[in-house]
Amino acid sequence: MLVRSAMSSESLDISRLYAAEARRVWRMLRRLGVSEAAVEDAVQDVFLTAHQSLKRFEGRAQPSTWLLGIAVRVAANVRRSTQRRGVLGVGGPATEPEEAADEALQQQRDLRELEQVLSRLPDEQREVVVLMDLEQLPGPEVAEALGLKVNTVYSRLRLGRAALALALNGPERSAHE
Amino acid sequence: MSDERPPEGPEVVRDFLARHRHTGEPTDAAVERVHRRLLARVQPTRRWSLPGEVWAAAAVLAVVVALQGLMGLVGGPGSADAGVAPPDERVARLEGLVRQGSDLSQAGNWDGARTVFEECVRLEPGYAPCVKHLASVFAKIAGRDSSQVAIDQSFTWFKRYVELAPSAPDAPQCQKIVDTWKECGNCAETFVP
Repeated sequence: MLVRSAMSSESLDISRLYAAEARRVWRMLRRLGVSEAAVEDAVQDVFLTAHQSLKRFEGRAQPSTWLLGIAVRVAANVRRSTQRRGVLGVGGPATEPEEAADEALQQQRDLRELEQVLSRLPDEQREVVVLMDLEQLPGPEVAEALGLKVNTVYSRLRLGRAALALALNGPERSAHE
Repeated sequence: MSDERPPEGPEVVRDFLARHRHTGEPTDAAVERVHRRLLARVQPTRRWSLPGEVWAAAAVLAVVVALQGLMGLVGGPGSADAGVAPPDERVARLEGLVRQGSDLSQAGNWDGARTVFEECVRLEPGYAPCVKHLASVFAKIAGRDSSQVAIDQSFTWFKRYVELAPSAPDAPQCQKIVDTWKECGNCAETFVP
């Protein structure tokens, strides 16, 4: 990863950080329930927050880990504000099938399926499943980003996977697996 | 710390997660769009470190660049569009290039903006807004790089703009820049770091 080096706030450049992490932050926000309509603002919010907090970044964590923590908080804020307004969390405006190219339509379907399943998980389990099982981040890094103990992260991961199985299978099948 | 993650869950979960590992990827255009917006918010104000009378010329250029923002990027009635009008079917394309170049310029990507405005001028040499923006971008590049070539280009394009749009509201100011450049005499030497 480009920014995985010992960086202090003085040497951390927001543009380099964006180049290295924007796609992951974007994916994560979508998977954490930020709608298509809101994701660009949310991505910008994550990096602006990082930029404004650069002086407080002490270099104890990797910049990418520090950024993940910010992204998780931004996503939680977006979810809360979306729920207050009573708007559907993820999915954005529906695309008319006849107007969409096949590939775009498939992506839209995948996103909807992913959101439908992930939305059944409690937020704290969803965050861990997204970071560890979808983004493939190691437990210690996720613990650092979320401000949790590693054991807590693993515990939430187990619960999250069980909840996923339940969501995918229904209660009867998942109980036997 | 070691990563002793729990064993993977049931097959249905593993399949689901594997299938969705890349779901939600943004497009390059979307990533770039947000990057430009971000840079526009965080870009520090850059001080030109130019000596002597070049400071005066640079200051005038900066005023013109600021005025462009106040007047609108694509130009309303009576603005730089007073130049030679391109055929209707090309206007949308040219306006799109002006917006694209202006976004890049505002984000501090002056080299990218230069490329866009040069393309615009290549498509329609008589389209005054592109000529003016190209002149402004060269002025910024000149300030950044202390580049003689860039400052020459800037004044050449400002001169061309005044020729294309002599009745535009900002034409007198651009003419003043051109006159300042002519009076400067040995500006070329002054620009050498």
